[in-house]
Parts: sequence; C-alpha cells; structure tokens
Amino acid sequence: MPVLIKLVLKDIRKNKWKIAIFVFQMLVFLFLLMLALARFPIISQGIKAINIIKISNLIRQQEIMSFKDYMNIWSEIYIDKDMYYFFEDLFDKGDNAYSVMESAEPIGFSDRFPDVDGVVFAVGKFDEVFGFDKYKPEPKETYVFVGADVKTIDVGDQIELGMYNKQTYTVDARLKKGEAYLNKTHYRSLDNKVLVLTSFRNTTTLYQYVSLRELIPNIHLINPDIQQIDQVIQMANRTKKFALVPWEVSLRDVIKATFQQSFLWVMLFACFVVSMCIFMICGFISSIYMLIDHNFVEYAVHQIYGATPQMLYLRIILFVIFIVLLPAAIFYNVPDINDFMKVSPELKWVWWFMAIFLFIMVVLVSVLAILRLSKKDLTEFLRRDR
Amino acid sequence: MIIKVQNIKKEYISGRSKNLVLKGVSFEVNRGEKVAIVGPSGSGKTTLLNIIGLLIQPTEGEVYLEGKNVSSLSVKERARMRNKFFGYIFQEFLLVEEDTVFQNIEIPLLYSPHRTTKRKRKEMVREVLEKVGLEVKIKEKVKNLSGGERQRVAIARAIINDPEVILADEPTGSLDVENAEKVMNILEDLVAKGKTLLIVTHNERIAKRCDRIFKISDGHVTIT
Repeated sequence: MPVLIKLVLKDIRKNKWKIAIFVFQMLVFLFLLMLALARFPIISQGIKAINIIKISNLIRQQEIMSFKDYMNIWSEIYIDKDMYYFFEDLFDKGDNAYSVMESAEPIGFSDRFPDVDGVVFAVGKFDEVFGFDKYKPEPKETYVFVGADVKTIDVGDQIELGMYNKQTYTVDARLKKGEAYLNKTHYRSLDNKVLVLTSFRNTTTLYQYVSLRELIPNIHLINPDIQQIDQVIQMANRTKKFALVPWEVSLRDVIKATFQQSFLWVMLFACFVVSMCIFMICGFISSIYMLIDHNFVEYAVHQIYGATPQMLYLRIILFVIFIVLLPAAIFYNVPDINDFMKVSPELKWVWWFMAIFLFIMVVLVSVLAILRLSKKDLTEFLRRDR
Repeated sequence: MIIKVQNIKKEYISGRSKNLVLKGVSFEVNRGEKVAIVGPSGSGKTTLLNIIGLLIQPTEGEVYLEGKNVSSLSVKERARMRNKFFGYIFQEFLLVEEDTVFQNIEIPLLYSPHRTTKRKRKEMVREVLEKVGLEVKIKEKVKNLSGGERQRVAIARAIINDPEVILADEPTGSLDVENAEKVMNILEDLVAKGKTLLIVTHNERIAKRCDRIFKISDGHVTIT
C-alpha cells in the first residue's frame, strides 16, 4: 500500500495542472448542482406530498365530506334568519363541520406585511381536524397564528382584521414550518399566511355577507348523515347563489390538483440536473482515459517488473478517489456554502444527493478505467512490430 | 541448468486466422551462459523471450526455472518471479520519459519483497549507475538523455534487483556502433559475473560473441 500511495502521489504531481483544471471544473459543477437542487421544486413538492398524505388520511379516517359548488354569478347572496341560524348552529354549536374563508385580507394589509400571502379565517372544527388546537394557549373565541415564513409579524404583535367591522387581535403563536390544510382537493400551505381560528358569528360580524360567499361553498362535514347533507344542500340553495353537490375527496384528486401544474417544470428541471451530471461524468471519464493512455508505458514497465494488474487497478482507483474527493472536500468546507445549508436545514438532502452522486461517479469512472486498462494488451505492447 | 523450455507452442489468433508461431520448441540454458536467439522478422524470437520471461503464456508446453515448473504459477507468483529472477532490456528502452533516471531504475525495488527505504534505494541506484557509467545522471529526466544513455539506464534498471537471468530484446537495435559496443561490453561483464544472458538479435557479430546461437525458423529452433 505505501508503494501505491507513493505512485498515486507521483501521478498527481505529474498531472497537477490537469487536476487543477478538473478541480476548478468540479467546483463550478458542484456549485451549480447545489443551486439547481436547492431550487428544485420537488423539495417543496415532497413536503407537500407528505402533508397531503397525512391530511388525506385524516379526512378519510373521519369521512369528511365536501361539496362541489355551482355558483350563480349574476345573483346577489340572499340571507334569511333560518338559514343564518342553521349555519351558525352547524359551525359554532355543532361538532362535525368546518369551513374556511381564504380571502379575508383587509385593504392595505399586503402593503404593511408584504411577506404575508393572505389571511385565512377558519370556523367550526377546523382546528381539531388539522391539529391546530395544539397552538391554542388558553380558551377564547378567536386565535391568530402566523405562518413559519412570515417575518413581518411576530407573536404578540397586534393586527387589525375585518371589512365592515374591524377588530384588533394579538398574534398568539407561530405555526411550524410545513403546516397546511386541504380545501376540497386543494393543498394550502400556511407558511406565508395568517390563520384566524374563530366562530362563524364573529366572521360574519367582521365580513358580513362577503364571508358567506366562501364559508358556505367551503363547508366540510365530518361523519355526516344523509339528513344533514340534505339540510346543508337545501340551506345553500336558499342563498339563491349556490348549488352544492356532495363530494368525497379522494387522495387521487388531491394529488392530481396539486402536482399537475408543476409536473412539466419538475421534468425540465430534472433534465437539466441529469444533463449536468452526465456532462461532468463524460468529461471525467475522457480525462481518465487520456491519463491511462498517456501512462501506459509506465503501467507496462511496472507490470514487467513485478506489479500485478490488480495493483495497477488499485492505483487508478486511488487516483480517481483523490481527484473527486479534493474538490468535494474544498466545496464542503467553503463557509458560505455551509451557512447557506444551515439556513435551510430541509436542504440536507441536497448534500446527500451530491455525496451519492460523487460516490457513483467514483465507482463508474473506476470501473470504466479498469476496463480500459484491462483491454490494453501488454503483449501487444511488447511486440517490436506493433 | 537454469532454464528449461519443453515443447513450447504459441498460437496467435487474429479474427478468424490463427498463426502458430512456435511449433514445439525445446532447449536448455545453463547458468552463466550467453545465448543469442536469431531468426527472420516474425519468426517468434520476441515471443519466445517473453514466454521465458513470464510476460506471456504459451499455448502449450512448460518452462522450468532452476528446475521448477513455472507454467502454472498464479498471477501474483509470476509477478514476484519476474521481479526477482529476470532483468529485461528492450530495443525501445521502455523508460518513463517524464521521470528521472532514479525514478526509472527504482521501479523493480518498489515491488521487491524486501522493503527498502528511499535512502537505501538511492544508494542501490547509484551503485548500478556506476556500473553503467551514468552516476552523474541520477537526477536527470530520461527525455533529456541520448539513445545510448537511455539503454544504459534500461540496463541499470534490469540489474538493480540482482536477477539471475537477463533477457535482452535487440538491446543494440536502436544504437550506433559505438554505443552498441558499450552496451554489449556491459552485458558481457554481467555474464562474466555469473549472470545468464538471452539476447534476441539480428546482428550476426553480436550473435557470434555468444556461447550458443538458437536459430528460429518456421516455428522450430536449431541450436548451433
């Protein structure tokens, strides 16, 4: 082994400029690969997928039913007392319904809080279904939570909500990264949103009939009986605005709705990353082939004077490992890159991807190099008339 | 007897055509003997030398070195045998051009079962360079040497491990008369010190300086 290491170091000394260029090439490649992977949409899609499966399982276990809604765009919403009290009872007194209002953002809100991507009002058992009750500090009517990525609003800050009536609320808690819910088939991340858990009555006080435009079509019922479903449909019809059709959400529908749009983008991105990897591996293989061809006299002399073919193979493998590990070691120790990864711990998989890629590269290049060397016939080389 | 070759056959296959170069060659070589192998181009001289030197395998037949059959040795054992038993000299020198004289000559020592320190290797390289008259060139790159000097470096490399047998394939083929004479004198000195020399040559004068001449023709050997 010491002899092999000495010979590998000699190979490195002899090829120092070629190695320097390769190391530079490799560093640029690793940097681009890291940037590409870090922005790979599949990361967030992956997190989404996990949440969707979690949420969908929840919905399936509880047999939650939502409704397809057909809206009469020309008619104004009609509200009568019976209808209002029916929905108030359903959400605020009942124990098997929830709904959301997703456009609850007051005028001028986005100017003050540019990183907030909307305010969501949730009523009924929403918190229990999606597990937000764990954020509730004490029993009260309204809770306000901010998403993990919202930087302009902190816990304890006060925000004013409402349209026809206004009310100031104190932010109770910050949600963990990745918190989300499903509105019918649609996945909704809460990372950049403000979530308000409150009552139907309070929502309609703040937003009046505007809130009903969303709360009624977005009704979800937990373990409903047929009679209750009929009642909901009838009451919704009384608004002269909506016709609801019961619809059980399937996991397939959820995944289709969430991933379809980004599929092409993901494919293009994957093609880019794969072509970069292939380009790098091809370049590396051709460099190693050139090295073998250039060094063949030396390999032949070593074999004549006592080296076995296995020793020569090992010498090439050690050389390949060294010239892959050198740029990798430099790259992994650049402080800025480490900081970048620390900021986004969920990008740890990028490190793993790159490490696995480098391992595959070493194995592939070593195997091809060994095949190249083993195909070169020493006896042919020794013939004077070659 | 140091070398015994028994009924050696060697067939080269190229595509569909087969070429039987050696058709059952047998002979013996004694310790300290100087043997020339002659014959027309393509007659199998180099092939025979490479079979004896364990660089290639015969298609049939056996090679005995100091009475031991070496035809069935493993790859590792053959490599070890090449390292300690033979010194090889080639017409085109087979030196690593970008390396120094020292780096070229130390190669057999790197694979020797007796591990040597760099200092010891330097000492040994100096000793053999003195024998071939190139001690001042130890740090020189091979690419800066003349043809005669290169062949002397190749001889130094061949004898650094103190081998029993020196196999020389046209060692003077690329040299002028003066350098060829120098190289032959060095080889004859080695024989005088008890080494065995097998030399492939086209040169009749060199062949006549040997104890015996093995003439290869049509795959058979005639000894004179």
